[in-house]
Amino acid sequence: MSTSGETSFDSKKATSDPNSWVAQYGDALYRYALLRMRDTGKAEDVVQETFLSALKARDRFAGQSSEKTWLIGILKHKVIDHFRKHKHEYLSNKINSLTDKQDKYFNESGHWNNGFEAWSNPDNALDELAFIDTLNQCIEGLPPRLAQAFIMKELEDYNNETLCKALDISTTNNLWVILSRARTQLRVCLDKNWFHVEKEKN
Amino acid sequence: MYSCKQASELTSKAQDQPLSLREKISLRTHLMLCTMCRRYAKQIAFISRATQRLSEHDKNIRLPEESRERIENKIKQSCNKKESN
Repeated sequence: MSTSGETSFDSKKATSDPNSWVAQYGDALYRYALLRMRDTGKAEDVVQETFLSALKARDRFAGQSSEKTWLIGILKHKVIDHFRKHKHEYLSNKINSLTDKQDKYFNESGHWNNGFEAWSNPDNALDELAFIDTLNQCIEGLPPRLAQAFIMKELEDYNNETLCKALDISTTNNLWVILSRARTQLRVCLDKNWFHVEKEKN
Repeated sequence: MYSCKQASELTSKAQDQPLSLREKISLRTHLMLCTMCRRYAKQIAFISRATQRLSEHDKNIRLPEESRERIENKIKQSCNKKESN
């Protein structure tokens, strides 16, 4: 909750003192960016860009949303802009080179190569910090483009065209293929590094 | 009749957007007959739920002190510039 005076909803609808922004919102914006970009340096950069853009656009803050929501809105654009501008960094993973990886999960007729077991009460893991760490490591282990597409699709409501453009994915069909590859690889990773280990323990 | 590979792609797509009637029927038919793909569907739905919870677990992550200072200084400079104009 914002304390009165810091976030102003009065008729002037002014922002709070920009010199207090970093103290007020720095951590929240940084966490938001880091979760999506998975790179501390890049996350720090977009947070800085966000504050500086917000400073310029200060007069346009309408006060209809909270100051934090307004800043997150600007940050959201900065993140997708970053992907768009730096897409060459993620291009090393061409779809074709990913095909081989996916194919190891299926045989020539498209059936699962290896059977796998059901996970018992997986939701119990959701409150375990160690599980969240494992999930993070599994996402980290994906090829960058797959990780990016997966996180942005799961956590954001961008439309498919925006996402494809930003991540340089040529068609929405390819987006579905990329996302299914990401999920298949994550499934295998969690199976091996969490659910299998948990089972051995019992 | 779908292969497991096709079924897994549709299962994943269904996480992100509604399927067409035709896709729905084909997928449902496949899932009725295939234990492994039903398992896959359950597990990736769980992965999605787990991913939604990631942001609840990063509360002790803080903007590093150096960046904090750097950004605060930049804001201060910009504010001063504005005032002197």
